[in-house]
Amino acid sequence: MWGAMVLTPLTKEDLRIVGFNLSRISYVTGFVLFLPIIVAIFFNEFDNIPYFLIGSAISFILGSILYHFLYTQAEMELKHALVMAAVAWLFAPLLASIPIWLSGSMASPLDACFESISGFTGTGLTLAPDIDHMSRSINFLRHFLQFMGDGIGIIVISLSILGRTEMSSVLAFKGEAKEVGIRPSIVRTSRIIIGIGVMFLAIGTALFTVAGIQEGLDPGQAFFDGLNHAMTGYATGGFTVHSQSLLYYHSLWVEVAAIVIMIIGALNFNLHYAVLGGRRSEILRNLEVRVLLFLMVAFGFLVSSNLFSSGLYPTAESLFRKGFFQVISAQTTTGFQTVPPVHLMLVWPVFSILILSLAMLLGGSANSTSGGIKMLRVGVLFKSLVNEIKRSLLPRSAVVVGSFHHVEETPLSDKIIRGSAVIAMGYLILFMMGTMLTVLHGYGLEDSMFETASALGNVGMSCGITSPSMSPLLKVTYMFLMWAGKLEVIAVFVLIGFILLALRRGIK
Amino acid sequence: MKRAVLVILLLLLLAPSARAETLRELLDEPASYDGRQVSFRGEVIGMIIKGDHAWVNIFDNGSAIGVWCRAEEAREISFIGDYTHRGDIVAGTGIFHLACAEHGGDVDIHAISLTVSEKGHVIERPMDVLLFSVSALIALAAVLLSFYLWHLRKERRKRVPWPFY
Amino acid sequence: MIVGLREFSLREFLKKNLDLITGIFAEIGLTVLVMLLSFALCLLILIFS
Repeated sequence: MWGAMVLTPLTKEDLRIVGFNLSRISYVTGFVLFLPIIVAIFFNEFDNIPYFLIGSAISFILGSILYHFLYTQAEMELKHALVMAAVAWLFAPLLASIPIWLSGSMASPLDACFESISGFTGTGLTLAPDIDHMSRSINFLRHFLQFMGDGIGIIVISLSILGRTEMSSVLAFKGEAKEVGIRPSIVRTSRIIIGIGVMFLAIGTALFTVAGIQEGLDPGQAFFDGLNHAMTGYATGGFTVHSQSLLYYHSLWVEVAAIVIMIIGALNFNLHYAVLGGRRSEILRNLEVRVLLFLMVAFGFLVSSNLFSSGLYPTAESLFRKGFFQVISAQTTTGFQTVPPVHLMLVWPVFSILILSLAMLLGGSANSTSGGIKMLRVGVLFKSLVNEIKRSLLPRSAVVVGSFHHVEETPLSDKIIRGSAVIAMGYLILFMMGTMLTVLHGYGLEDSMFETASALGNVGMSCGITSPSMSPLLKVTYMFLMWAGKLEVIAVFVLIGFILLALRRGIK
Repeated sequence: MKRAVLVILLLLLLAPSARAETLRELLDEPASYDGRQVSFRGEVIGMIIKGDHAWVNIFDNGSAIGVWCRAEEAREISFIGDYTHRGDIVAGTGIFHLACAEHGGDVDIHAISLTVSEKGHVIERPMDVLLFSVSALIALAAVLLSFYLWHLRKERRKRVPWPFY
Repeated sequence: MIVGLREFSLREFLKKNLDLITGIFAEIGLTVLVMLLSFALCLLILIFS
């Protein structure tokens, strides 16, 4: 695909197209930043309201500037869409970091940006020094960003609210790494994604609230915490209302509710659409579901066995609530923790840490809220490996054509295999770079691999490396990894290509 | 005799006073404290009463641990820390568990005794009226500006038609 | 669910919502299956140690 294209020099029009479409992102972010005001009013946190108003105002003003001065009705092409997606996923978090920084909850503006990117990308690594004393509206914003940015997707939202001509919408959608497939109309697809998200949010909130009340929390707290955790659980984000993550509740039922919503969040949107539309058999025939389930159970078994033999958790209940829970949290790329981060570094055996790192890197389903390389690619690559082996063993003349079932039967073409391999390569390159940079800061190898996989796979599980006292270089590195991982690497490389092209050939 | 008593008193006064292990130490060196009696101290940030026992989550300098204590002890707590409250500071002794078998492998402290050593208080967060008014005005202006510009474009498009797809 | 102004079929409406509800249960059921399987494996680990 890339070789066949002649790299035409960049024009001012190219920049206009990208810039103009960013205005829509700006407006949507402005709306998003208004909503926590409702929470602030409800909890009498009137001192926080100005922070959201200012953040919102800046978003609308920037949006207006972009809209007015860069107005164009030229069509967006693929390259514009990818660049716009890449920039949008920096631009929106930057705007959202304004209220977070103004509230004083973070130690520095860089930390506020980190938190915001961690929110939008559905990662969940936090630099907040004191979440338990954070205002409820700012805390709500953190969780809400994960639901809006990752659970639904900022571009999806802008498409469904503001609409657009079909062609460019398709491209913008593709830029956000979602496959077009649910419905022919992009705007309708967006609305369906939002509908599914809101529905599971309601279900998740109900599950958490019931679990919370059953455990002894008062209903108001159970609901507030439940709503927030349902938002980040469905978005497979991982921010929590308290600093102890889910360990705050010391509750099996809260963890069960979390597992339900995490796995649902890690399932493909096309699968949701098929199953909720009546095609229930899809749920077990789908390649991704099979790989995901297999890996969760297999990795869970390996980690639990390892934990048991290390003598750490001697009961079946603790093996489930620590071993399997952490594996499911890692594989779905959510990041909820029932083990203090520092214990992952100091107490857990290395083998388990490596399995968790692998699970985080591999990730959840494609086209879902999960991160990582994604099950579809893993499944495709694994099947192609098997086919290669078959080819070597069979006579030359035999033709081996595999296929896989993903909503429908699809042949295993070279194009698909190549696409999966290239992106997997991209992830691995970034993984190595991230690990090496972390190791350079003095951390152990398996811990560095763990934290890097967590950032790159948009997981958010921490072994303690991520903290406000982390070096600024490492903070920026993880911000880059979170961003690149969310965009599935390709859009980031396209943006770099865009910039290099501009530098080499200039802008006409 | 008097001298002996004086010497003993002096020794007692000069003896190092036992200090509570900080929560951070407990978490950072779990192996040294696992299963042992420790003393703890921290601000209450969460309380869940379960029958005749309760979970009291305490926070100190960035670290937090759950303390499993008797419900009557927990009911002595008046303030739970959050945005508008500084929680009671509680202190006590208990057995530290790295992976409590009774509680599904959780990190916890089973309290032998838990008392409120410092009462918490309400934290005032007054609204800055000037800031509120100014920011509300700016936000309103920004939104109106956006609508106005959008309206402008619509009008301009009506007069100078652009090829639509 | 969006019901258009075309002919309204009660049967279709009920079927769609029934599909939705059974779909939700199917998905939640899947997660419960995973949890039961996981817990069974934990017991297995304990037994065979």
